This record gives sequence, C-alpha cells and structure tokens, in this order.
Amino acid sequence: MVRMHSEIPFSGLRRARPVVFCLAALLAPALAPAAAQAAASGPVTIGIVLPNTGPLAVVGQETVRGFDLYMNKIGLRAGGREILVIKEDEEGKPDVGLTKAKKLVERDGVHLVLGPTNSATALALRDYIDAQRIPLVVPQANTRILTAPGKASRWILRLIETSDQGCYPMGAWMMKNTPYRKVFAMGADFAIGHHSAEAFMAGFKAAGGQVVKEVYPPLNTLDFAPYLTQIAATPADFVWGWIGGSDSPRFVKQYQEYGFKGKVPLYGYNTMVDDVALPAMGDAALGITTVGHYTAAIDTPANRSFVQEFEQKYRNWPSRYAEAGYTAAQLIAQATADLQGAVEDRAKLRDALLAAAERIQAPRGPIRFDKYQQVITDIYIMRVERRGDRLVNAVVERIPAVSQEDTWKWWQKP
Amino acid sequence: MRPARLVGIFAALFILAAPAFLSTYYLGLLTKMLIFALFAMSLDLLLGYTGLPSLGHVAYFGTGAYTVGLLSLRVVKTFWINALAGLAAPTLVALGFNLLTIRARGSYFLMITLALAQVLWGIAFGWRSFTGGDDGLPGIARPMLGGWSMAGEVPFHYFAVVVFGVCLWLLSVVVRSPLGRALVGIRESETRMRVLGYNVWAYQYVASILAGFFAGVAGVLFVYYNGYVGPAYLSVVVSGQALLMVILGGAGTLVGPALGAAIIVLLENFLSAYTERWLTALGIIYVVVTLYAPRGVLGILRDRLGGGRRAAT
Amino acid sequence: MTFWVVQALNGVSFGMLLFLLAAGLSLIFGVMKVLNLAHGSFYLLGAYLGLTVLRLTHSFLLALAAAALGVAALALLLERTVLRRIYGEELRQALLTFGVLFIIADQALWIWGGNPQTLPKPAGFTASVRLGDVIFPSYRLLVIAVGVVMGAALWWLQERTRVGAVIRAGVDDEEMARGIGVNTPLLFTAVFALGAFLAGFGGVMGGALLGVYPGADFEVLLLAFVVIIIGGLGSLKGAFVGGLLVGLIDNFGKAFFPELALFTVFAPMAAILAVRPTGLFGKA
Repeated sequence: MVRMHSEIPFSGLRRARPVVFCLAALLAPALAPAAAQAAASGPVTIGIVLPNTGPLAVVGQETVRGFDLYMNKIGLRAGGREILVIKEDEEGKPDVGLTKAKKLVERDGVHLVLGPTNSATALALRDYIDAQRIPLVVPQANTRILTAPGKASRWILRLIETSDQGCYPMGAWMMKNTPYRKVFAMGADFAIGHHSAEAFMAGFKAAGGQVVKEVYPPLNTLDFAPYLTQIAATPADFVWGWIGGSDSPRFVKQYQEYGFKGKVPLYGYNTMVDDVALPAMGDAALGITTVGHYTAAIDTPANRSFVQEFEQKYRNWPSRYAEAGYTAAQLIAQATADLQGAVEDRAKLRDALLAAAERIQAPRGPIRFDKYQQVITDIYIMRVERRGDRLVNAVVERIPAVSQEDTWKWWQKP
Repeated sequence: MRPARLVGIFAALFILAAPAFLSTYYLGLLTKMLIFALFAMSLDLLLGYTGLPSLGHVAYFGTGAYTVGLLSLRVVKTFWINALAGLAAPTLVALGFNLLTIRARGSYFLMITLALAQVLWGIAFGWRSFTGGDDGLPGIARPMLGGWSMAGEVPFHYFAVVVFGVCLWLLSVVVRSPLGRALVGIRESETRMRVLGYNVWAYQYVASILAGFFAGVAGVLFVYYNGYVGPAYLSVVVSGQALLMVILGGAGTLVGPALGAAIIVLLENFLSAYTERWLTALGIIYVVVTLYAPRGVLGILRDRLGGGRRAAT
Repeated sequence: MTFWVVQALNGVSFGMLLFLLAAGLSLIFGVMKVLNLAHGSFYLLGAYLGLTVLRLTHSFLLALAAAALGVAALALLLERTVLRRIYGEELRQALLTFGVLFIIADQALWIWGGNPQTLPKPAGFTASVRLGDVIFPSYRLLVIAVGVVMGAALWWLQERTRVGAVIRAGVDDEEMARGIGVNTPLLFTAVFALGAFLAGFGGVMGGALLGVYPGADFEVLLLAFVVIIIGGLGSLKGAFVGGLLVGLIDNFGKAFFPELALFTVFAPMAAILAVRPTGLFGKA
C-alpha cells in the first residue's frame, strides 16, 4: 500500500509548478487581509459562538432562534446602522469555542461576541476575552465562577442566573411553602451539577432543613436505578436534583417507573423539565417543581407577546434558551441605539450594554447588572402542569430581583 | 534542485516569516497546523513506517497535555519541570500500553489501541476531583522562557516552530537510520525480517515508544496553545483525525502527514463558515480519502513528479 | 432484599440491551475483521426511524421491523458500494466507517433535531409491576425476555443452520472458508447487514429505555466496544456473557461505589486487556 521514500530526480522546475501551485492555493486564504474594523458606516457586526452540532446543539439553536426573532423584528437595524450577524459552531467543545471566538474577533472584526452555552467553554474564553477587551454577552453558561470576584472580567456580561442565584433561594422557599424537611439531593457529576446541588443544600440548611444524602450520577448516566433505589433506604421526604441534557427525559421517566413519583415528590432546577426536554417526557413530568429564570407560562404582556411571536414563527413555545437569545438581542439593539450606532469604542459599548439592561423589557421581567456584570433577575418557582394538549411549567411563585451577592455567602467569603 | 526540496524551503520561509504578514488569527491557525503536523508525523512513524495502525494515538497526546495542565495549575509554573514531566508521562504510558498492544495486528491492533486510549479518556472524564471531569482545566498560563513570555501569538508561534523543527529533524534522523530502515522492512514483510534475524517485536516496541513520545510533545504544545485541557484531548475523534491526516497527506513519507494536518485544520475551520452541515462534509471527506486517495497527496504527487527509482512493494 | 432484586433485574435488563448492541459489532468484527465504528450510528438511526414509525402507526412491532430492516438495508448498500472496495484494508475500512458515523450523526441531527427523545413503550408494557414490595418497570422485563429470545435465535442460527456454519467458518478462518467454496463476498454482505439489523433492533428496544439524542451513537459504540472486549471478538456467547457482566457490574458498582461510576465499566475492560486480550470467549 505504501511506497518507500523515493528519490525524485531533477527534471526542471516545470515539474514543481503544480506542487507550488497547489500549496499556494491552499495557503491563499491565509494571505487574505483580515477584515478591518468596520468603518463607522459599515454594519454593526455581532459574532455568535454557540453549539450547532453535538449534544448541546439544541440549546444553541434555541438561543439563536430567540436572537433572530428579535433581530428580524427590528429589521436587522439599530442606531441607524445595519446589523450583521456571523454565526460560528463551537460544537460544545471549549477548544473549538476558543478558536471560533478568535476567528470572530480577529478575522471577522466583530464588535462584540454572544455565547457560549457550555460553562467550560466560557471559562476557557475568559482570559482571551479579557485580554482582547471586547464585550462578551453570555446567554447560558451559568458557572458561578465566571462572575465571582477574582475571576469576573469587566468585559463579560451574563444574562442568566448562576447556580447560586437559582438554587439557593429555593431552599428557603421549600421550608416556607412545603411540609418537606429532609432532602435527598442529586446533581450530575460535573461543576454545574455539584454547585447547584450545593447551593440548594446550603439554602435549605440555612433555613432549617436537613440534608439526608447527596449523590452525583455521572453525566450521560443511562440507568439511574442504582441511585434511585437508594432513596427508599433514607428518611428523605423529597428529592431535589440538578439533571440536564439527554439525562433529563431518562431520569424523569425512570423516576416514575421505579415507583417514586407520587411517593417522594421531585424538585430541582429547571433543566430537568425545560421546554426542550419536556415534550418527550409526557405525564411522567407532571407535578415536578423546579426553579429557573424563565418559563413560557409567565403571564405578563411582554412575555405573552414574545411567546405569541415565537410560536407563530417556530410553532413551539419558547424555551429558557430562546428567551436568553431574545433578551440578548434586545440588549444589544438597545445599546446600539443608545450609542447612536457608534459601537467602535468597545469600552463605551460595554458600558452601554450594562446600562441598556434597565431600558429593555425582557420577556422574563426586569433585569439589571451587578458590579460583576452578572444579571440581577427575577426567578420563578414553577410546576409542570397540563394545559390542553401541552405540558407547561406553570408559575407557582415569582422571587424578584435575586442577585448572586445575596446567594453566594455560603462559599464566597467577603 | 529537487522540487520537493524547493517546496520545503518555501514552506519553511513561509512559516518563519508568517508573523510579518499574517494576522494573529491566521498565525494562530498556522501554529495549530504545526502542532497537529507533529502529532500526525508521530503517528506516521508507527503507521506509515512500521505498518501498525493505531486508533489510540491520542492517549499520548492527551497524557502530555493533562500532565502539563495539572502541574502548571496545582504544583509549579516552571516550564522546564512541566515540560519534562509532560514528556515523561506519555513515554511511560507508551512503555506500558505497548507491552500489551504490540502483540496484535490489523483490526485487533486498532481495537486494542482504541480500548486503552478509552480507559484514559474514562479516567479524565470520570475522575472529576482530579482532572476536572467533563469541564476540564481552564486558565493554564503560557510559559515564561528565559524571561520571555509566550503569551503573545508571535512568541508562541516561534516557540512552536523551534520545537517542531527540532522534532522534525529528530524524526528524519530516526527514519533514515538503520532503525528506520528496519521498520520499513518490517512493514513490508515481518516474516522476512524475522528470518533475517531481526527481533521484530523489539523494533516495533521501540517505534511505538518514539511515536508516543513525539505525540506527547504535540500534546504539551497544544495545552499551552489553548490554555485549556479537557477529555476531548483524549477522544477517539482526535485519534481518527490524526489517522485521516496521515492517510490524506501520505503515509510513510514523514512530511506527508504534516501536509495532511494543514489541510484538515484548514478545512475544519472554514467548512463551518460555508455550511451548517459541515460534519457531513467532513464525513464525506473521510470516505472519499479512504476510498480514492489511500496513498495521500504526497503519494500521488511523487508518482506524477517522479519517474526515478522506486522500491518495489 | 428489595435492593438486591431491583439491582439484579436492572443489571440483567441493561445487560440484555448491551448484548443486542454488541452482538452485531462482534459478528462483523469476527467475520469481516472490520472495526465498524458506525455501529452506534446504526443504533441511533434505528431509534430515530422507530420513533418516526411509532408516531405514525403507534405500533411498536412495526417500528421494530421498520427500524431493523431499514438500517440493515442501509448497511447492505454501504457494504456493496463502498466497503467492499477496500477488503482486507482494515485501517481504511475502519476510517471509512468513522466517516459514515459523522454523516449519519449530522443527517440525524438535521432530520430529527437535537431535542432528547424517548420512544414510547409498547402498549401493555408502560406500567410498572409489583413483585412483592418491589416496583419494577415491566418494559425492562420485556427487554430481558427479548434479549434471551434473540440470543437463543442467534445461537440456533449459528449452531444449527448451514448459514451459521458458514459464519462460524468465516470467523475461524476466512481464507480457508473461501478455499472450500464459501462465497465470501456474499457472506460479508450478509453478516454486515445482520449486524446492522441487530443494532437497529437494539435501537428501538433501547430507545424506549435510554432515549435517543445527539451523542447516543458514541455512547452506544463505546459500551458495545467494552462488551466485546470483555466477552471476546467474534463470539456470540462472549457478547451475551460480556453484556450481562457489564450490565451487572455497572449497576452494582454504581450502587456501592458511586464515586467510581465510570471505572466500573472501564476497569474490567482494562483488566481483560492486560490479562487476556482476546476476551473471555474470543479466539486466542
């Protein structure tokens, strides 16, 4: 199959031409000049680095849908300039995310970057974004580390709640609104799963509750039975879990199959029953109570119109990921308008983005940013109900204006 | 002057002068090409020269990367210590793994190498408290070398160029040495070599250690390049990529895989800009290359350009 | 007591599913010496096809048939058009199947989307049964039954029919088999299609249990791989025993040593590789 290293006799440079030509053709794109920073009359360029393939593809796609919905609504114009969106696939892999971010910033000359989904990617991007001094609007990656003192960057703004903001307040809520006092806590075995479960347990204990057991099944656990069967052996009166991605439908169904549904109430973070996974779960999901920053069932005029627009275009209710994309688009458009299109000064753009938060009407409710560029947002306790022929996360209670600084006291020493 | 030599000089000049005319993004891409070229060339030593197809070569790449990452984040930031460890670890892994694998051939070799690499992947993915699990280890700083920081794209590029150049030279020395010639003989016919008195197993073992070592070098470079390491650095997908690079460029030609690496890195970065279905396109490339271009670009070029002595296969 | 019963049944049902997934891979490797990296993709495709058929017809049986036959047909096409051109070139074949993996994964993402789905269970097996004070999903009992029946059918095929004899001959020594007049190309096509059939079948059975989503192909491939390494290549018995072993070790391992979750799957594999690389029942 393979030939030995052969000697090529000299036969004139003519023979070399095709070789040199091929190499030159290959390398030619490299010599193409990098796109210069758009002149003030060119379009406002937004780089999107979100997963379009891989296990997180559906999250990335939902975010882009929400984003596109708003951008198309305003005709892809703001502040007197056109808006150009360049989308790159980060495949859910941090090193790919970094490469694509570099492409967007250095080759495409974007004015700001939107993304990523994966917390690992966000952390991998952090130093680069900070060194490049370009705004990054983060729609999902909710690791508490990204906006904590010491790690927060002036250039990184995040639109959704951290694992603390979401899960810590639910502890107190459980103590106040339910008769349950002993929790069997679960979290997928990676940073977000651990941090979320820990935050809930801290909040629950601070309010007087008791943690009976904690288990951390690995990501992509196919069979939760070994973990579920442990519940019966403890005096726990409810289960709280962080489960997400493809694990969610499996977990919820197996919870019912092994007879726990109806006997031990299930609580958790919204990724367990988010609107992306919920349709596949059927009635097994009924009654599961979770916490998160958004559900399409929020009954405000702003949200109802968002849901209606989204459903008209995509024939589905929007998920929390779509809402994040939509809010990001609102924020960026508002900031651009406030600057009257002058987005070249990145520091001014960053400040305008921060200020714009209080001027937009996000579908979830009012938002603003704290001093670490982390959002202060309402969070909702929600319960899965059937409305007509669809399953929804119905709002049980709204907890307004939750900030990370209120909810991180159990691990972040001042 | 032979055309091959001419092209080589052109490429070297291009790589050395690149910072002058390439933007930081493209320069970074070129650096990435060099890193994967080294990785592919190390695999070529095993595949192209010795005839052993490994689907687990990423094991050494990932081990080098994780060793540097773990030490640099948790123990000490001194480059020389971390680099040395980052080279020692994959070599040790190679010493251990290949005791088990060199008995196998063909598809069995593919399978056992894949299995061993997967064990390492499983450790990286599952042992969260040690390796960071699926999240990996971010925030790894680029080294300081003699007072110069490698943080910028340009200094790091030259750093990678120097390492690549040294390794290329070492690999070519190996390939031209009696060891290298013996490996080719083993690839062509093991029985013949055994009859001639060669200890085939020993030669293959040595080749696999060397291949693992150079793959480790590439891994060390890559972790510094990204500032991050994760289980993806131990994934079978990367092993497959390396195999494709070797086949595409031309197995057994030493620099063919470098060309293959350059092409694949370019393709992977630009395909996604042209189509959302870039993964399908990549899959088609795998199929087309394995079906129609098994001898790779350099193999084809050598046929068309050469007319001179070729050893009978 | 409940704990042991549930874990054991669980391990066995998971093991039967693993058997279905691994048997095809083992067969293909044993006869054709091809490392079919697209095997997980056959599972994925089978599960998605089954999902679509289930949505249209609400018949689990029809979904099983459609998925298994559909995937087998695709495999047949693949084998005849591309795989057969590179016989004996084991690396190239493996890489080609790797390319097929990407193509199928991407097309599936495009056609069925990225949401994680589960296949609805067949009527009559949607509820859980009470065995004493144990609550156990009846579908998993069905999986055990199907696994055993399928295992028996394959065993009968292999040991008691001419076709099976030919397959066994192919596994033992392909050159010799050709020498005595076995139509190897036809054998290879048949084996590849059969392996894919089993994977597609496993896709529907497994899809109702584990779900189907982007990334399932890699997970299934990895698991099938572990099973055939432990059980031995080319051996049906190996796939069966290996599947059971992995299923039980995984379940009990997770229950007793939850911190070591992934090791429970990989440790036996590493041990076998070190001690007996051909697997428990593989040919030496």
